[in-house]
Amino acid sequence: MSILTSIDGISFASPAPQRAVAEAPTDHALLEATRTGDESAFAELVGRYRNQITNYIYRLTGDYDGAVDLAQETFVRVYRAADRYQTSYAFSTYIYRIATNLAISELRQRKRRRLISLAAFFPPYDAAGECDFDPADMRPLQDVALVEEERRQAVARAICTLPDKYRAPLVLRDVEGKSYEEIASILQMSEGTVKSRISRARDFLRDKLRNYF
Amino acid sequence: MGADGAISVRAREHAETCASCRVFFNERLALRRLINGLDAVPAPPDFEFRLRARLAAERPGRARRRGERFIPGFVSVGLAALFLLMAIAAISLKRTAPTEPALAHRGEDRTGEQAAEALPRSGAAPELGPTVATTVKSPVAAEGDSTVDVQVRRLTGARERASVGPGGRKEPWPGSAAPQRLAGRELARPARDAMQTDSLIAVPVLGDAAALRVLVPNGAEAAQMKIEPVSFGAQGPIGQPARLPLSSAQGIW
Repeated sequence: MSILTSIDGISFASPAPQRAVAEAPTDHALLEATRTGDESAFAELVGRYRNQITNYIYRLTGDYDGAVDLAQETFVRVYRAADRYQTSYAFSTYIYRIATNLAISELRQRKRRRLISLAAFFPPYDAAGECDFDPADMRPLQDVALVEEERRQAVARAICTLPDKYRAPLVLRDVEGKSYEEIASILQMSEGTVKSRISRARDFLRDKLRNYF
Repeated sequence: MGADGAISVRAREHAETCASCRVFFNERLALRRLINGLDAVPAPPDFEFRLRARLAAERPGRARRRGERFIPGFVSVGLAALFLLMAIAAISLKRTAPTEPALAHRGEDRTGEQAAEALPRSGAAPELGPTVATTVKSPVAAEGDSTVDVQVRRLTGARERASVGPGGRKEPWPGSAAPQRLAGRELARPARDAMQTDSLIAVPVLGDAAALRVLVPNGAEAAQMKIEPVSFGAQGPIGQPARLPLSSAQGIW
């Protein structure tokens, strides 16, 4: 390697062309590779989406262990149906649709089994758990972190008490940051319906969280 | 209002003059701030490992689908019948037609098994068997990427034959070409973390998991673990288990 001894050695000409950086394969490409038996491609897909899907299902169900289980089931279904996957829409839409269906199905099963108790719904937050929305004690706390934590828990609980049909659109929009168009595609409903449900969900939350504003 | 809480210029201008709309927008912005304060909940560290185990259980069916695609029922039945007829014909021919040595030594009959025994063993292909992995809960804690000795004993009838693993006897299993050297790997958590009590250890085992007993030494004692077989569906020569990276937290695929 030559040592630069003076400024004359510096070239001010057009910068040297940057070495082409290998672009990360798209989700479609990874799924295509999965079809051909490339296990590492599927592992890459899992790595990309596992946290998002787990978080999404958790916000829908309020049960972390159950969310992890459903997230895994989501990936199992993606893997199982890799041969039938069509690239007509985004992979993220596809996987979120599967996750949504699984979460909604789980919520319905809970209702059917009459297992909807707040204890089962919010184990991470309150083992003794009440299912009703219970605003926090508003007396000032000394520790700001405690206040913030309490606020986060209240928001999470409030989201979980939303009716099912409002919960998924709101979480997709306000937690996951999806566009209305993508939410409509995931939930297979019109954009107008999506907007309407999100608006209703926000009204619900506003009423429940008014004390925290 | 957008996902980021932004509102249009027109709506903002209106909110400046309309008190009720201003209150509405402020509430929506406050709500947005509250929701944004939610922490993202990540998947657990052993997510991939558990997923892999789950997928491995799915794999036989998937392999069947890929390999055969769609075969109409009558074709399958026809192929099976043809195979059966050929097998019967082969057996009957073998019983009736005298072998060349038999022609030379009339009256001397050699069974197929005896003929097979006469084959040279050195050239025989290694026996193939399913690779079974099991997860056990460690009763001990280990540091960093150290390993925990796991003894796997195969139950043959009333006797326990052959324990394997760095801490155990190295006696070959019946039917195996060579003794297996197994060590517990901490796969449920990143290897950099210390293994905690009750961590999952994946133990690659060749053979029938139903006939196995796993022992994990705990100091002077050896705790017997309930074996929970997880078939990873791999086929490999018995006695030559796949080499696993010692520090990998990603498990076996």
